[in-house]
Amino acid sequence: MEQINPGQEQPAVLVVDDEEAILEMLKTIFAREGYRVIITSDSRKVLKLTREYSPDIILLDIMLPFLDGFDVCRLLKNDLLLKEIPVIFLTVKSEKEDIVKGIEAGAVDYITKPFSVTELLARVKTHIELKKSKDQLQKMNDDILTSIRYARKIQNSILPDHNTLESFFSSYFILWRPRDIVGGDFYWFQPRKDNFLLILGDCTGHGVPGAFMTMIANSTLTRIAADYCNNDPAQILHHLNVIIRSTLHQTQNTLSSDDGMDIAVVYGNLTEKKVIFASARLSLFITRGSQAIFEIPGNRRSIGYSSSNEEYEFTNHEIVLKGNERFYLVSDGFTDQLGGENDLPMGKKGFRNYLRSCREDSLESQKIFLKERFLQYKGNNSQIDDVTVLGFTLKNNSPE
Amino acid sequence: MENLTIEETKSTPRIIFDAQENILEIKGRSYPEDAMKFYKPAFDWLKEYVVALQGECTCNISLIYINTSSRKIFLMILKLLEKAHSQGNPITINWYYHPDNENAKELGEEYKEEIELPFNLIEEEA
Repeated sequence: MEQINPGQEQPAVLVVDDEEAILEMLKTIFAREGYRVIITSDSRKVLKLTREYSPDIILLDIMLPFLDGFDVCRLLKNDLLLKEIPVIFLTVKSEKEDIVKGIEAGAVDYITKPFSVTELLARVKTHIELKKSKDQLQKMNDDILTSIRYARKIQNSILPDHNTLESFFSSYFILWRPRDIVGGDFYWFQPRKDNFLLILGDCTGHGVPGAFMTMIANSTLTRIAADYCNNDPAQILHHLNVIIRSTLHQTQNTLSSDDGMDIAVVYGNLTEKKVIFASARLSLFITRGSQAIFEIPGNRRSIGYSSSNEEYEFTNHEIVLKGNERFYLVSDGFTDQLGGENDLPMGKKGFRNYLRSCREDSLESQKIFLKERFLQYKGNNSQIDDVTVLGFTLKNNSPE
Repeated sequence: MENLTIEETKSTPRIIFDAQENILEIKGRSYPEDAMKFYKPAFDWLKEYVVALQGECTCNISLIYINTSSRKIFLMILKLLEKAHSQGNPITINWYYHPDNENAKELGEEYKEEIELPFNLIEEEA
């Protein structure tokens, strides 16, 4: 038999029991409390009724003809659309093993007959409320994630495209692994006739706050390259520091917003065959075939923090190209990663060692190698910060 | 003044500031989601402490990993101690690091350069 006590906004309970007397009693009890009640004695109909009436909770007997309660519960839990509906076993079986079996089948609770009506009602109410909170959290989480995923699209759209990079680099790779969906690492590229600017930035923080900073940095760089200078990395850093500080109103030494970035600026000129590098903290690594790895450290100053000095001048380093140089920029999410034997940060030494062991491979295989080594070092630890590695080698001739 | 104790978590260090013994201890990893918020109680405590301080104080720091925003706050904490030191309360910093932790060592060196305080870089036993 099945019967419905209709009504809309009330919570709905589906009761499955093979004893008519119990069904009738529960129907009365729940209806009196304002529930919509659906009852059945046929375990084969539970899935169909659940789909039809979307109950908020299911009370399930165990000893039933045809399918027993455990089987019905498993069927419900295997159904993508129904599995979230809480199931409570209501049964005379009171052995510990039965209770365990019931919980393992996916039930949220287990009540033994004879039961107290007050207790049954209290438990049902609690589980319905829990389910509601869970649904609400799920919805909020989904909304936030949808919004951040959309933000990722925007963040990705400001990154330079392959064709532009390919016209200046004979070969290159980009290893970009934000810790979360969006991140505080970014790279920026501006092509001109025979020269370019390549920038790797690592903004404080990660996730959404980090990503906001990358957008500020991105538009500020575009403005600097257009209005101030586009071939002098040290000057670019100087302007960036001044503008970011004033953008973020960072003038007082208090515990308020104090954000900034580490950033490396590479100017390359294919006609003059030279590279100029200046940096706030990030190093440039250079390899020439099998020779030792050469590291140019950046100035030990970050950009934009309230403690940074507006008068500070960054240092330019000029590299004359012989033709076989490979350049690498790496954000500190790579070298700070905790892991290894002692659960310590990898350090720049670790990065140099990895680079040394793959220095003669193609850039493409270096990318794979570095990524594998990183993941291996990280082991079971979570990624601590956003990670970017850029590797590139310049074209010998100016692009047409 | 009351002592301050903050328990260690995966991403924040253990902080024990002892106003009776005049020993300040910070140990662990520091990469909270919001470093300002995390360090605010410690910073406020220190501000009050240095005003009342009379005599010597030792600060023991042993940090495995410190993210960028925590670094800025550590600098502010050290500046606060530097000021108290210059006003006649001898303060010593002991900066501990694991021999394989190049990052922690370099950061200690950087602070040592920047801060006018007795600053000992101490390699821990492996």
